[in-house]
Amino acid sequence: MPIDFELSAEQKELQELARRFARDVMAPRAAAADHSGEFPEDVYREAWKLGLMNLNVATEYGGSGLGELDQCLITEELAAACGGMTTSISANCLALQPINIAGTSEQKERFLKPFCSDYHLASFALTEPGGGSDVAGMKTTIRREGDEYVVNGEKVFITNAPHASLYTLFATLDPALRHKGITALVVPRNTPGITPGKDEDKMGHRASSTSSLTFENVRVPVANRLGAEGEGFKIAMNTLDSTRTPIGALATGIARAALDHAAKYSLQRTSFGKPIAEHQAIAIKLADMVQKVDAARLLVWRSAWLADQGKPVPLESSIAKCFASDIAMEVCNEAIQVFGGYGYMREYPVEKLLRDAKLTQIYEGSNEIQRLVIAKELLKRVA
Amino acid sequence: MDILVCVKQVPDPETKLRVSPSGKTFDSDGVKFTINNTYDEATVEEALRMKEEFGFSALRVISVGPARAEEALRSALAMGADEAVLIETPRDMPLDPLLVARYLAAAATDIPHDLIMVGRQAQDDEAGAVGSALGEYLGLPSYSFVTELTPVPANHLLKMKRYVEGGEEVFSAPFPAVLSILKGSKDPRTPTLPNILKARKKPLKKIPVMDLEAKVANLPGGTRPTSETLAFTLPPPRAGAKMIEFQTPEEAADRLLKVLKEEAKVL
Amino acid sequence: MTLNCLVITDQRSGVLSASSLEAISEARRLVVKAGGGAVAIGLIGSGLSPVVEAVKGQGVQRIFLVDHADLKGFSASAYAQAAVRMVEKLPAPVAVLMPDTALGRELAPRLGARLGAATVTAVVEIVPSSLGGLDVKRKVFGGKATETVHTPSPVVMSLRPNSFAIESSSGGSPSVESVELGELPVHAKGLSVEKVISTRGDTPELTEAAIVVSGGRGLKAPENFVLVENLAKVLGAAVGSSRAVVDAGWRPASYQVGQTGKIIAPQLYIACGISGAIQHLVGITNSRCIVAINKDPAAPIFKIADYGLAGDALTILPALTRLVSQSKGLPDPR
Ligand SMILES: Cc1cc2nc3c(=O)[nH]c(=O)nc-3n(C[C@H](O)[C@H](O)[C@H](O)COP(=O)(O)OP(=O)(O)OC[C@H]3O[C@@H](n4cnc5c(N)ncnc54)[C@H](O)[C@@H]3O)c2cc1C
Ligand SMILES: Cc1cc2nc3c(=O)[nH]c(=O)nc-3n(C[C@H](O)[C@H](O)[C@H](O)COP(=O)(O)OP(=O)(O)OC[C@H]3O[C@@H](n4cnc5c(N)ncnc54)[C@H](O)[C@@H]3O)c2cc1C
Repeated sequence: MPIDFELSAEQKELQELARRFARDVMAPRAAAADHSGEFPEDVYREAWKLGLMNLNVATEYGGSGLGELDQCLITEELAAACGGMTTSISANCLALQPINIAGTSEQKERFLKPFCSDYHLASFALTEPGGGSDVAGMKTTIRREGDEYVVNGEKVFITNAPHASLYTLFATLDPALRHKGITALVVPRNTPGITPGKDEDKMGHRASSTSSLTFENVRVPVANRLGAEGEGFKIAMNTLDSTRTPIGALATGIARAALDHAAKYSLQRTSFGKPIAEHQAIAIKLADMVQKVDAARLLVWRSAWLADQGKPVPLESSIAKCFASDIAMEVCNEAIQVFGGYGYMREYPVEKLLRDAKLTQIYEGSNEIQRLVIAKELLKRVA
Repeated sequence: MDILVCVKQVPDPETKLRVSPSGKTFDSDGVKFTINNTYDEATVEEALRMKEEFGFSALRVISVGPARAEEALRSALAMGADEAVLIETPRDMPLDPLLVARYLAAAATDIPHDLIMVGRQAQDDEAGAVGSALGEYLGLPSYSFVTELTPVPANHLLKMKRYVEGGEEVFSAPFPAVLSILKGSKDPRTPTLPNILKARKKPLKKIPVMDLEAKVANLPGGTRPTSETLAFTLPPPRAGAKMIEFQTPEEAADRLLKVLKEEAKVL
Repeated sequence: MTLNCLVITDQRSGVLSASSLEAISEARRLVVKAGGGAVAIGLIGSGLSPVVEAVKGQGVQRIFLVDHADLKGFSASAYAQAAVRMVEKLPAPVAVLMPDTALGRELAPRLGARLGAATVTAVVEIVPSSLGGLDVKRKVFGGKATETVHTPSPVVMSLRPNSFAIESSSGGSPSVESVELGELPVHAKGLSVEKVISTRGDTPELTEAAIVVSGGRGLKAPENFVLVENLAKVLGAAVGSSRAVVDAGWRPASYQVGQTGKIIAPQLYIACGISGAIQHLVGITNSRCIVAINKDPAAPIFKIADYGLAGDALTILPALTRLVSQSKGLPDPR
C-alpha cells in the first residue's frame, strides 16, 4: 500500500490526548488570556506534565522522540483551542531542535535531559532588529577569548524569552562573513549580561510571550557551541526545515476552529426565516472553507510523512506552511463574515482566530520567503 | 491479589445520532468512538487507587467488542493498567448486556481476579446490567452503585458506601466480588503522552468470541441474546412552547396552574 | 394469551417506594392487555408485616413473602434466590417487574442471569406483542433515542421511576403465601448495613421526583434561589439547577441537571431563568411536560418547552408559590 491516510491507533490516542487537553485546559482560558495578554504558565506546566512539550527530544534523553506527523497531529489539536498557547508550548521544540541536530551526546545529555525531567522553557534566538528574513545579515557578534566566547548584540521577537532558562543563540564571528560566520551557541539564561526586554503588546498570540534579548559581554563556554564555527546558518536552516511543517499544522488548527464555529453558528442563526446555512451564499462559503482546511491538512501530512521517511522537505514544508497559513487567514476572515456583526465582537471567538492566524504568515520564515524557496526549488527541478 | 476491570468503548457523547439502515440500532458509520466510557474511566482510576494504596498487585482490563475496542483498552493501559484482554466480536454481532456478561464470565475464569470492577453503566445503552449478571455467572457476590471503597485485604473484606434512593448505605462485605462503581474518589487521570507510548508495549491479548462459545453455552441463556432489538428511534422534534399571555405575575401564575391541571394533567 | 406478572417491590427504606406502586399498577394493566392472568407481588426482606398490609389493597391475586433475617440488608444474590422461588410458583408465560431503583437495577440482571431470562433495565413502556412476549421500550444515549426490544417469556424488567401511572385499585383480598428461601451461599448471608446516611432533605430525590423546579443564572443572585425552593416546597417537588448555578457556587453539584449532572424524567419540569443550552436540555427532554419561565421570549428553552411564560421569574415565582399554597391550604412559605 503506497499511500495510507489512516492514522495508527497510537496516533489517534496522541490526538485524543491533545484534543482533551485543548478542550479541558486550554480552551477555557483562551479568551481571557487573549484579552489580558497574561502568560498562562500553569497551562504550560500542565502541558509539560502530560508530555505535550519537547515532543522532538529523543527517548534516550527522556523525551518521547515523536516524528513530525505525530507532532503535527498534536499541534493541530492544540491550535484549535488557542494559537498563542500553542506557540509557547511548541517553542521548546524549535529551541531544542538545534541541539537535536548538531549537539554532541555530551551536550544532549547536559541540555536536553533537564527539559524532560522538569518543566523549563527554551527560546530560539535568531531574529534581529535589522531583519529576520535576511538571516545572513545578522549583527550579533561573538568573539573568542580562551575557552569562552563573548557575545554582544540584540535579538528581537523571541518567543518565551523572559521565561526561558536556556537559549539557542545564533551569532556571527564577523558580519562581513555573512552566512559563513554564523555560529550556534547554547546559552543558559542565568549567564551574566543577558537582559530580556519588555513583553511586546501583540495583535494576536497574546497568551504567548515575545520580547527582545540583549547580550552585553556575555561569556559562553566554548563547550556550549553546537557544531563547528560557521556552521550556525546550516543548523538554523535545518531546524526551520523541521519546524515549518508543524507551523502549517498550527495554522490548520486555527482554520479548523474557525470553520467549526462558523458551521455551528450558521445552523443556529436565522435570517429571513431560515437558518443562514440555508442561504446559498453562506453554504458556499462553508464549502470553500472545508476544501481549504482539508487541502492544508493534507499538505501538512505529506510534508511530515516525507520527513518521517528521512527525506529532505524544503519544498514540501514550505508549501505546507505557506498554504496553510494563507488559507487560515482566508478561512478566519470568512468565518467572521458568517458571524456578521457578532463576529466582529471580542465576546465571540472568531476575531481572535483571525488575529492569531496572521502570525502564521509571518514567523518561521515569512510567506514571501517561502514562495522564494518554492519557486527556486521548482526552477531547480525543471532546469 | 488481582483486579479485573471491565470497560466498554462507546460513541462520543457529542455524536449526532442517526438510525442505521436496519432501523434497529444507531448508525455507527462515520461515528467517532471515544476512547472509553466515562464511568469506566472513573472505575479504572478507582482500581488504580486500590493498587497504589491497598497493595493489590495486578490490574487487568477486559472488553467485549469489535477490533476498534482495542483503543479503549489501550487507553486504560495508558492510565496504568498492566494487561488487557479483548474478547473480539465480529463487527455486527448482536449482543445484549447479559450475553456480554456471559462472555466476560467465560474469559474471567482464566484470569486471576480478587476484585472485578465495572462502571455503573455504559453511556450508550445505559443498561447497567453487566456487573451483577457477571457476579451471578461467576458465583460471586455483587455490590452496586458503590460510592466509596476501602478494602481490608487481610480479612478479605471491603468497607463500602453504596447509593440508595435518598442516601447512602454504609456496609462491609467479603470479596472476591463484583463491584459496580458509581463514582470514584478521584477524577480519572489523563494518560500522559509517555504513558500512551508505553501502553503500546504492554500485553494485550485478543480472544475471538468463538474460542469462548463452549463455555458460554453452559451458562443460562447460552450463546444467543435473550432479547431481540426491534427498533431504534429518535424522538420527533418538539413543536415549541405554547406561550401563555399575561399582564401581571398573578395572572401568569393563575393561567399556568390552570393549563397544567386541565390541559396537561400533570398537577 | 395470558400473562402472569410477578412484581418485586422495593421497601429498602422501610416503606414501599412510589416506584413499586408504579410497577404494581403497570402489572395490572399488562395482565388486562394480555387478555388475562394473575398479578403476584413478591415481598423480599426482613420484618415485612407492615408492608404486607400496605400491598393487600393493591388489587392483586397473590402475595409471595420471603421474610428472613438474612435478607435485612440487600444482597442481590440472596434476593435473586428468593425471587427465583417465587417465579417457580407462577405458570408460564411470566414477566417479572420491579422498579428501576438501585435495588431493582442490581437485582433484575442477577435474577435474569439465574433464570436465563430476557432482561431489560430502565424500561419506560411495555406492550404485549401480537407475536407473543412483550415489546419493551427503553431510553438510550442519555434519553436522545429510544430502543424497542422484543422479549420472550420469561422476562425480567426494571421499570424507570415516574414512567408509569399509579392507579389506585379496587382492593381485592390476595392470598399471602410464605415462600421457602432455602440455603443461601455463604457470601449472600446476612449482609448487614451498619448505617444509612440520609442525603434527603424534605424534598424528594431529584431523579425520582414527579415534579422538579429548576433555577438558572437568570435568578441573578444566590439569595433569589430560595424562590425556586419555595415553589418546590409547596408543590412537593425536587429542586434542580443549571450548571451555571453550580459553577457560581450558589448550590452544590448534586443539584445540576443535564449532560454532566442528573438526567431526569419527571412528569413536570419547571425551568426558571434557564436559557436552554443543549447540555441542559439533554437532561430534561424526557420530562412529560416542560414549563419555561424566561425573560427572553427567544430563549432556546422555549423551543422544547410545552408551555412558556415570557417574563420575570423573580415576580412570577412568588405569585405561583402563593397560589399553589392557597389552593392546598398551606401557609405561604415566605
Ligand atoms: C510573535 C512572534 C514571535 C516570533 N518568535 C520568534 C522566535 O522565537 N525566534 C526568532 O528567532 N524569531 C521569532 N520571530 C521573528 C520572525 O521569525 C520574523 O519576524 C520573521 O522572520 C520576519 O522577519 P522581520 O520581522 O524582520 O521582517 P523582514 O525580514 O524585515 O521582512 C519584512 C517584509 O519583507 C518581506 N521580505 C523580506 N525579504 C524579502 C525577499 N527577499 N523577497 C521578498 N520579500 C521579502 C517579508 O516577507 C516581509 O513581508 C517572531 C516573530 C513574531 C511576530
Ligand atoms: C462539557 C459541558 C457540560 C455541561 N453540562 C451541563 C449540564 O449538565 N447542565 C447544565 O445546565 N449546563 C451544562 N453545561 C453548561 C451549559 O452550556 C450552559 O452554560 C448552562 O446550562 C447555562 O445555564 P443557565 O441557563 O442557567 O444560564 P444562562 O445561559 O446564562 O441563561 C440565563 C437565562 O435566564 C434568563 N433570565 C435572565 N433574567 C431573568 C429573569 N429575571 N427572569 C427570567 N429569566 C431570566 C435569560 O434570558 C437567560 O435565558 C455544560 C457545558 C459544558 C461545556
